[in-house]
Amino acid sequence: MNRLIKNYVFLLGVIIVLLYIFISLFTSYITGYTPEQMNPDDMLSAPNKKHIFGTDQFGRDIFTRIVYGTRVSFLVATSSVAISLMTGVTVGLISGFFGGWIDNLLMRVMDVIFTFPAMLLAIFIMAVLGETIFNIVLAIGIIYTPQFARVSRASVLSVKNMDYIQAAIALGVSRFGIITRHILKNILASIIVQASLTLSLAILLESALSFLGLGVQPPAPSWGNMLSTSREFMIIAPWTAIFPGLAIVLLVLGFNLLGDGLRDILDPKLRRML
Amino acid sequence: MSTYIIKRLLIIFPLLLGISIVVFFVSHLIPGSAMEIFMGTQVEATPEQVAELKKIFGEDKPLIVRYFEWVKDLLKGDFGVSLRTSRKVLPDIMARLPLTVELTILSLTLAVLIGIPIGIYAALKHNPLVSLIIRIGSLLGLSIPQFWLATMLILFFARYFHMSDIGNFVPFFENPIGNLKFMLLPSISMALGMASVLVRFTRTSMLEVLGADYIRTARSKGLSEGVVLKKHALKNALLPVITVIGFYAGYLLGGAIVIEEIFALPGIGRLMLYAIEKRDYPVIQGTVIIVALLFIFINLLVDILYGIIDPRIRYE
Amino acid sequence: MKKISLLVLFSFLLGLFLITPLYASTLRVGIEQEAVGLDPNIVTAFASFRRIELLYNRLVTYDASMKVIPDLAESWDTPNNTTYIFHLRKGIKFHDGKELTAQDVKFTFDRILNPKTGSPARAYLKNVKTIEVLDPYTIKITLDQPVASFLVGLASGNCSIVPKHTVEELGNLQRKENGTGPYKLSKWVPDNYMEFTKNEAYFEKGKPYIDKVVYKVIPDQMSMYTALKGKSLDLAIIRSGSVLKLAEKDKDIVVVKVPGINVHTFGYNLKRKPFDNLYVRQAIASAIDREEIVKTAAFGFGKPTGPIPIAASYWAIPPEELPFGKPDLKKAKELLKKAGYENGLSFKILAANKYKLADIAQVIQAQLKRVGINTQIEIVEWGMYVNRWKKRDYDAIVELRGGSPDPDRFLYRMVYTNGPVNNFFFSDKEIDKLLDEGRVLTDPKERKKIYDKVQYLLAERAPIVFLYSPTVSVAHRKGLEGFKLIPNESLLYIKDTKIEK
Repeated sequence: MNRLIKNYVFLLGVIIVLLYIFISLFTSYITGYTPEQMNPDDMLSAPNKKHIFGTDQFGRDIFTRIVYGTRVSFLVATSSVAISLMTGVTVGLISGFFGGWIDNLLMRVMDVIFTFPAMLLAIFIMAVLGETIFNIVLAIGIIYTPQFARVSRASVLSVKNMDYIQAAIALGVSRFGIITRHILKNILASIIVQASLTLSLAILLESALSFLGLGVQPPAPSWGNMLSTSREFMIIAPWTAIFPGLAIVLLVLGFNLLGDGLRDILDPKLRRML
Repeated sequence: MSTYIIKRLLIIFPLLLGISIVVFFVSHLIPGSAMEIFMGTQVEATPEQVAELKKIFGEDKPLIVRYFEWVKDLLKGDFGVSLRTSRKVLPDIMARLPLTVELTILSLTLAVLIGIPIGIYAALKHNPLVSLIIRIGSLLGLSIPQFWLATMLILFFARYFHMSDIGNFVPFFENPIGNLKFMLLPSISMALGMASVLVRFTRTSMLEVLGADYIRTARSKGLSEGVVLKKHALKNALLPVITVIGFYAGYLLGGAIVIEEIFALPGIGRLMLYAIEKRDYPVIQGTVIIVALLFIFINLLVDILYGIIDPRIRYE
Repeated sequence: MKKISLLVLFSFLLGLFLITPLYASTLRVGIEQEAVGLDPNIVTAFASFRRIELLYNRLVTYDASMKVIPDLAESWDTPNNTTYIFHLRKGIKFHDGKELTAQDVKFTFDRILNPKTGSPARAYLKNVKTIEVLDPYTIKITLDQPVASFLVGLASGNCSIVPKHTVEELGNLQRKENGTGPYKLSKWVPDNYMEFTKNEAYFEKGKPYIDKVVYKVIPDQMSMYTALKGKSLDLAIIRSGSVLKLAEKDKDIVVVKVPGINVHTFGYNLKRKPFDNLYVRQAIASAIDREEIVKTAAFGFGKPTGPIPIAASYWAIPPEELPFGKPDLKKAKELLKKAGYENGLSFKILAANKYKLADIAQVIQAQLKRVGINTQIEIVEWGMYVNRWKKRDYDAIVELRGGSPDPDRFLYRMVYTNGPVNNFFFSDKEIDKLLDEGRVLTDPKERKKIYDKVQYLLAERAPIVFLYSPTVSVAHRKGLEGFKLIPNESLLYIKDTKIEK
């Protein structure tokens, strides 16, 4: 019975994420408008047959902007998580493998990044670098590096002194090679889980930054900046604020369900981690 | 225990030194300067006037000199003067800190009141449907952006009840009821995510404890389920929950920045955002230092609390 | 049980205590930003001026149509076009009780002229040759050349008269005020509210009518509206078009609108290609539809304008009467062809997330696309925007320009060769010559001819597209009487406002 429930969670997550992937791949088939197409005669229209989610202050179709916004969200989320993952795992491996002062230094740096409020860090990074999509990816990538570093470091430490590794070393196999191979296999499960949860965090952070005006800038459609501009109009046009928000919630939920389900399937021991 | 605390306290100094270097130079790395923003795009100035303004804004000296001057003052407890308002920085921060702390505490309290009972319930209830609902529900709670929840709450209350207290903030000690009424929506917006984390954490922790040997022993001794729960399980299960709360204090403080902005609360987060926007370096640096201190303090407190509740933990 | 009823009683009393003092001749004003500082000669922020105008006076001021009228100076003589003799009102007291004399006026102007002060008003006074105190109530100012806009400059908030003794004591007036204005500052809780109390010794007899004015800082426009609706504000500075639309439908709320004096512009870095090409600039000007920009970006709360702010109605020629002032896509395409860009061209537009600049940029982008001009919009944070503005680091830029009721004040600094805020690298000998003539003439009819020519030339050479002047607006609850709004957004006429009970 329990297993089935876990699968429900996982399945639901997969369905949601696949839905969004589908949407982002076939944008132009899904909607007849373009995201930047303005219509001054049709400003802030309530949802209707022509515009199922209504229009914004420029008369642009909100549904279309959400659809195209999916691409931005995916782009930002996957590339920033890729950065976190690669840097994090590298740092974790080096740290766990060499130990000593290198370990100490790297882990303190990770601690500083980790303990600082993510939002604050992101605001600072964006202020210094400027508000381009590339910089958002970089900022989010840096911020979520420590989680990956910790997971992989812990894993290195746990296998480093195992008998068969020591035996392999005694037989003259390169220590680094064996550990890397063994560990990468070992941490794969936790990394996958971590990655899918981080995807959700990345989307949330991107939208919050864009909401503050520090993220993706208009006219590029991003859910966060749609919400940011909608603040001015939402009292007369609530749909400008409701739908982009729902789009965020659903995708983030999808990644969360996916990660949570994966965790149960891949490694029940990991359940305590979050 | 006390040596441990002293050791932890001693670490604060190098940490603060590091933070001071990072925050000082990073805030000066932000393109533009306080003087430029003061001038804006509509003010005429001759080169000699610009030179004078540079002096007024302290931008005539090299960065490194300014850093040492700042640290020297800092050691004397002087956080400097705002370039934007020419007010002393520290009193300004201290005037705003209570609001941010109140917001954090209120939302934390709400989160605990909602999250822990649901978490315990979820652990005890063996109905798979209920646990599925709680699980998806808590994941949903984690998936709702705080700022969007806040916007929706405002929209809902403003549109349908014509009720909005935004901009009418009153301090707690002046008017507790008005204050709480005002803080309710911001706290709810911040509490939901945290509550969801607590539901999940409490549930897992509780399940683990319930499966542990000493609980089984207690049960086999014939103790009633209620006693087992209260005396043993709950206490042990809530231990790790405390760490989580400490751990998420940063999350809450970070969230406070956005929430303060949306609800126009005069807290430290909004002060920081404004300072960044205006390149008001002394204020940026001051707020970050204070937030960092707060942070270190919370983590220390959590550690100590943990030690008191569970003396088995060895401090090394 | 007893405890509970005590608590109820207590909170009831507390509630009473808190509610009563709030009403009774208090005007609660919602304003979006906190004041940066209060020193009238130093500040540059709009938000500071909104406070300063209640606290200080100038020699002369504006009436609601932005005509110069007496303020501290009861009258003035101009024996020739470079000499001004001001006669001060007698018995004007600063808020600390000390009398204002011509010495304070001289001190203020000397202070503004001193480069160490860093005063933005220095530009208004830069032609001042001598300042002489003739007697405690008379001051004579001579200029090195005639400046037609001199009085308009003196009416600026930056030329408010400050007390010599207080400045000498405090160094500057950023934190403490000591003015002559209708209100005194009585409490300041930063980023929350500012409380002003009636100046009983104010020189206009019987004014101000309202005892207490409270400025509450409310950054969010919608919150401002809900606060007004919820009766926790009496008057609110609302700029957002959509919120204004909502407020206009409300029976209990009055929306006051006047065409503003500021101007949104679309300008180029003329040193960069393709903007050095006249036909390209004319093509862009012909592709731009001002009415549509006003309608979409400003929700209709604005008025298309030409090179002179439309609110300066004596001088301004409406854009549609000027060359390239009406949208004409066919002509735009022809001009592009003439310029050698029939296959389209592309450039970047710089804007900031402030003052509607980003919205305007998006509408312009859509309009230019219609004639085959592809643009990329760069929306940057305000500090970055200012930084790049200074460095002239942009192809094209959307701006909000501070206007003036006098054409010389507005145009000279912006389009004269190397003018202080001519960040377009625009240089045109013919226009320079006309501007030089216009600033020394004092006969309005003669001047008008010159500025008519300037407007035609600017429209034709199209270094900048002057887009529209945003409407200046406030919303207040029913029952306020006598409030007037000035095109420069000043709230000065709070002093003439009465609350009907």
